[in-house]
Amino acid sequence: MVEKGAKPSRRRAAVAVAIMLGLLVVAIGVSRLVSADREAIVAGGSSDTSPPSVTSASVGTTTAAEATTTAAATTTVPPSTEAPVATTAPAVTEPIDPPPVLREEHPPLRDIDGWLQSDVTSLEELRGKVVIVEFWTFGCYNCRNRLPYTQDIYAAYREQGLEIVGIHSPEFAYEKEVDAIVDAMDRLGVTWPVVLDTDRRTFREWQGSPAYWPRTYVLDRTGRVRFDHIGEGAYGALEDTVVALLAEAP
Amino acid sequence: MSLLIEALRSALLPCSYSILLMALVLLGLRKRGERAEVLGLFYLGTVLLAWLPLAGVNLMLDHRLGGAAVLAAGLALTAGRFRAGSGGAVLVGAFAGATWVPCVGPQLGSVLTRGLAEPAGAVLPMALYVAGVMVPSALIYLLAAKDAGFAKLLERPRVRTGFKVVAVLIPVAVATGAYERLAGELARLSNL
Repeated sequence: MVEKGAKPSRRRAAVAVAIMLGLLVVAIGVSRLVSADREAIVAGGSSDTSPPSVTSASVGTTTAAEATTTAAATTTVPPSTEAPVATTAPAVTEPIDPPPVLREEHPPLRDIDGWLQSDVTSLEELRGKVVIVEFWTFGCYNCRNRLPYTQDIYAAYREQGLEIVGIHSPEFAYEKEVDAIVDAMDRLGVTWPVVLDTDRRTFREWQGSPAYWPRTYVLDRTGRVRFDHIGEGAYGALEDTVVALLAEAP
Repeated sequence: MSLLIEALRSALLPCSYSILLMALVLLGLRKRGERAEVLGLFYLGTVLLAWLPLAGVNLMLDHRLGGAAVLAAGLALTAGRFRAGSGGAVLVGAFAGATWVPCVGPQLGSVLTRGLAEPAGAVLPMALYVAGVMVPSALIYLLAAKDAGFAKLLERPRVRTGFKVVAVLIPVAVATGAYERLAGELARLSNL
């Protein structure tokens, strides 16, 4: 690797890089152990009802657990080419594989500051509906990119029992002002209920650390988490999930 | 490939400014001939700390005081005249990786979502993505390495002092919350 006559400085640099690579390998090993632990927990049928962290989000299930973990990763992978969301509602009675249960119960809305354009004041009041919960903030570029798809899916399936709840968790101070949020909702065409999560407590409660904008969950009619995706994309998978959950018996 | 393209696009957005700023300060603090290793170590630190939380390891560097302390230590080491000071770039990279809020486009979103279930599988995609985000930093490095005029500018005592002042101010700004406000202001301005 390093020649005998190499300058000491180069040798030191090589050692530093080697140490970093070593750390990376150790980290990978740790992560494999963590993954193995998770699989062991899943195989044991653990029912995790504690507040979720990112690391346990796809583990805390009580049914078909191992398959759930695997499916959780595959369900939310965006297709290579995104099919546009149907703007007219298709029949929701087609047999579609039921989306896996990622959590038996969704985490609570923690210390929120209120709701905007909503008749309800809790997620529990939406039981019986399929609910898309979307963490966003109006200054977030990727959150804005998701909005047209969210609008389409809302228009297509609202009448059939779909509701959307946007949880506005501001990243920066200027995104905390309610007037600015209302103005942005108007400008961006956000017509669904929005929860004000000014101090990002709900954001942390649901996602743990790290937490990302945007992040999309889907709750079934009984409040179980059936879909989880970070960032843009997975629009086809999201629509498939919504269609499948709408077809489930209330 | 599409992940790299998404990273390149993201490199121009405010979400990546913090990484560019840190890389720029590091390049300014070291002499010609040492900058490649500084940038490389910064990159490794950034990748490691951006990825570790997916594996359930959180070093809490996103807390103001802890983050400021690590950042200050890294910058102080890098600013030092001794040769091994380049290693400070790892700490600066660790801070940058831990506090970085990436623009999560479709490709990175897919990597992160899968990474929650299988963290090991996210290491290489994350490394590729961060490499894409650091392309502007690499271009500045190349400019400093190839362009004699720019290299001379970086070597000027006043410019070097300027970088040192910035290296002192950034950890202070992180500790007081001013850094976060500044980042927010940049984001707001770029959204206009």
